Amino acid sequence: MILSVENISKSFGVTDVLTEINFELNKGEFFSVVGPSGCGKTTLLRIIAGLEVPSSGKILIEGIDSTNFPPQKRNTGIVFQNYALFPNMDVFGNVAYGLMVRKFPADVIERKVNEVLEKVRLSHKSKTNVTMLSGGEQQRVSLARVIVTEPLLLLFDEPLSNLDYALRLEARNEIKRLQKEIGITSVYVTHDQSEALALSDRILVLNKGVIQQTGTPQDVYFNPSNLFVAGFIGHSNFFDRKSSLQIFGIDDVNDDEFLCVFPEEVIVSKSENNCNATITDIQFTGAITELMLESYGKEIKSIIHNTVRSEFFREGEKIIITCSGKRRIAIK
Amino acid sequence: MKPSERLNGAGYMITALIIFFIAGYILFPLYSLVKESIAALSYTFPSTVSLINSVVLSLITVIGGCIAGIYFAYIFHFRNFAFKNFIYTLLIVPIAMPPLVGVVGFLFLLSDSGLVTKIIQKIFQLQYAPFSFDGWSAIIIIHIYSFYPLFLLFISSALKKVDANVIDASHSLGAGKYMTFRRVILPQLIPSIIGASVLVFMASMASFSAPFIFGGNTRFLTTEIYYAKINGDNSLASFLSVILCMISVLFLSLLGIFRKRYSYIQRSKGTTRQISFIRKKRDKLNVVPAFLFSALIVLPIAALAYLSVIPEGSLMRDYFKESFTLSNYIRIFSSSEFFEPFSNSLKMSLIAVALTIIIGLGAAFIITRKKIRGGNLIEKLLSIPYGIPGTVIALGFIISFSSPVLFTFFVPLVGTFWIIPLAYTVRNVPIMTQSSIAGLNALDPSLEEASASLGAGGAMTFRKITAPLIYPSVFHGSLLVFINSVGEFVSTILLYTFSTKTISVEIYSQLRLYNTGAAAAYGIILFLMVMMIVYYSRKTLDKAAF
Repeated sequence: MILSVENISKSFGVTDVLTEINFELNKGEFFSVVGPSGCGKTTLLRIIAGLEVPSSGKILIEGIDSTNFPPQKRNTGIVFQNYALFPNMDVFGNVAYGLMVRKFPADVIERKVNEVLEKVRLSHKSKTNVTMLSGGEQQRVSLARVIVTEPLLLLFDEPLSNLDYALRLEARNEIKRLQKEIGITSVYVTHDQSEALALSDRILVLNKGVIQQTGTPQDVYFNPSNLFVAGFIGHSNFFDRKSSLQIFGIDDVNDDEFLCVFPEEVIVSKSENNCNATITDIQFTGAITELMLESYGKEIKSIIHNTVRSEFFREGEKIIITCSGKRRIAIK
Repeated sequence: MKPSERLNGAGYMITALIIFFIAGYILFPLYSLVKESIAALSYTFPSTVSLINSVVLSLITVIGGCIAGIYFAYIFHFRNFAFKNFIYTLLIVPIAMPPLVGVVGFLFLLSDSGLVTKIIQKIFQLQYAPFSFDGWSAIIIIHIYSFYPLFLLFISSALKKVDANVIDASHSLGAGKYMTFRRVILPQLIPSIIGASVLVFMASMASFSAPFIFGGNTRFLTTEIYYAKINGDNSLASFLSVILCMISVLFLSLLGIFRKRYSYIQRSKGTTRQISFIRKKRDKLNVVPAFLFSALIVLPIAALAYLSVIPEGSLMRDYFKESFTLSNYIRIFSSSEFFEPFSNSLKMSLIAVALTIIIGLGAAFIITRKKIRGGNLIEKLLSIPYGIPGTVIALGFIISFSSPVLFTFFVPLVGTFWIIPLAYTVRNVPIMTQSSIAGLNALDPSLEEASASLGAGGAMTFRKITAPLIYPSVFHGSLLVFINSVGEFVSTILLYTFSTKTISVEIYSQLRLYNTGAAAAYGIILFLMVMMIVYYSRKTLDKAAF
């Protein structure tokens, strides 16, 4: 067990930011903490790093109670959201910093830094001032700066949120590749569920400082434990007993349940009569088309995977919807 | 509390040192002053003439400086002419100049035996000086000369923020130039004008050099305090000091209120088009006043320079016929008696720089990084000296430290070397504190967190990350402290002894001996030193900006 988080709670004044957080991390695991902004995920990461002290609970790193250790005694590495590169040093200086602090001899530092810069494909920028780098390059330097110290734990604080879409996908692949190659145990904090699903071995869904669910990406996606997870991870549509019956003719939804349907499970077909929904908005994004529908006063989201043979719809068109999902989630 | 906010041993020491400094060198002298001033009430009620004189002088200075400042800021932003940047730099010069240097410059220029006076006398074959540069008119001219750059700077920076589109809009709605200025531009400048007015008013109330040299029988608060002290009436001096302080504090708090009330004006959304992008006509007419005024700025310095290169005592003779000599300068750097004030000033200023860094940077660190309880109070207490005139600080020191007290480790400080750099430190500690706080606030805290998580301890992080990154603002603060200290006259004149004369005191004593050459040479050295530092700091700070 590399990391055990035991009953961690944190409050700032009267507001509870984290309540009774528990989880454990195995060696080499890539673990994501995902939740909307303000859910406490960054605070959790900062507590693991030693930048904040929890109000109660324990952090065990390799079985040792590290709750009150300062950050420099923990051997964890953080990749910050804004990268936090030292502007008074060049790329080499930034990457060498952790080794210099650990008093490695100069030749070892030189060798290790060059190795890592090779890995992140930045060898040619070794002497460049970090303020002259592009966003993607800065992100790679901040990653290199951390992995060169071979930390027990790699902590990512929304590292991709400052990059544009194309770079974000590229950097995501890069992180996955490096993490596989080096095998460092990682905690990855993000508000982007698709990032978490793509990268992680396991995911923790956090809302208002309370754990909603922990599990593999497939687990949290296909078997959400509550409405929040279903909505946040799967963007699901919810139907109570009455609207299930009205729209889909499904009559076995109990009063204390919701029928939970992914957008891709809402099947839309053209029809002349017996229409039960209207298209209110269409967004064609290439591979998929996102439709907003209205049926019996309810807004429904649907996704169609486009092929050349796909039917095309127009706004205001009346259509028939059915659903292929039969998942039911209890109302808490 | 974050773990990084815990105080360690060094943190406790710095905090203790700062509290000791505040208690011993800011609060205790003020307390002694107030205590001493109460005694004055019992036997005399001081005349209010000097108070009224000071207030009237300050109001005239504010109005005059404001008009000059607005005029020049306006033509520099809306007109184009040759040598614009150079002239602008010249117009700003008096702000960095030690006040005494300006005063002596004017003395050599316009007094009965001044350069201009003599030239006019010669041209018109007059027996006596055509005018007498003395008293109110002299002080007012010097005050406006010294303080209007503050208006120019404040208004210029406000004009940079004015959206040019708003001006175009006003014109397109049919308003002429005058109407646009009065109704659209001027209201946007009001916060800056108020800010500068308060600062100039306070500086003018605290001004000592000009009233001291040119005041004659007209007494102002600062000179009144000085003469009361010289006559041994500490109680009266203290009483007047307390009044002077109260006026300063009153105006400082007014500034705070106005800043809050008008701060909304400067906010604007979206991108603003700067006035500098408006196409300006090349205007020959406006060159004339700008040139004339920059000549006025240069003239006192030119007079100093001229008198410094003609033989000593030639003021008594016809100094247009004297040959040039460098003997005045050579004497300063060759005779130890003449060099001592120079080395004293350097030593005292450097000590003041070091002490203000320790106190100011230390305070900024525990306030912004350690977030200690009462940090706000420490910041407020450390900014008190900002509102206290130098005369009052010196008097407070004299009354407090003439007998052995705890804060001086039971050594009477008065008459020693150390009391002067300590007074400079107290006077300048607000500058250093503010620039350190600004530097630390501009620094992204995640840099220090990154350093800690990479394994660096607090001291290492400070040395390798924090210190190099806040160096520009601390360096800038240090230069300001040095400039302020090296030409300091107001408190030094009350604190010096024969062996601790500084350049400014020496200028004054050479003047009293009618050694105009020596006084002028010291003045020019001081002026060049300050200007070189200003020039150098501009260059290096531009480079050091990350």
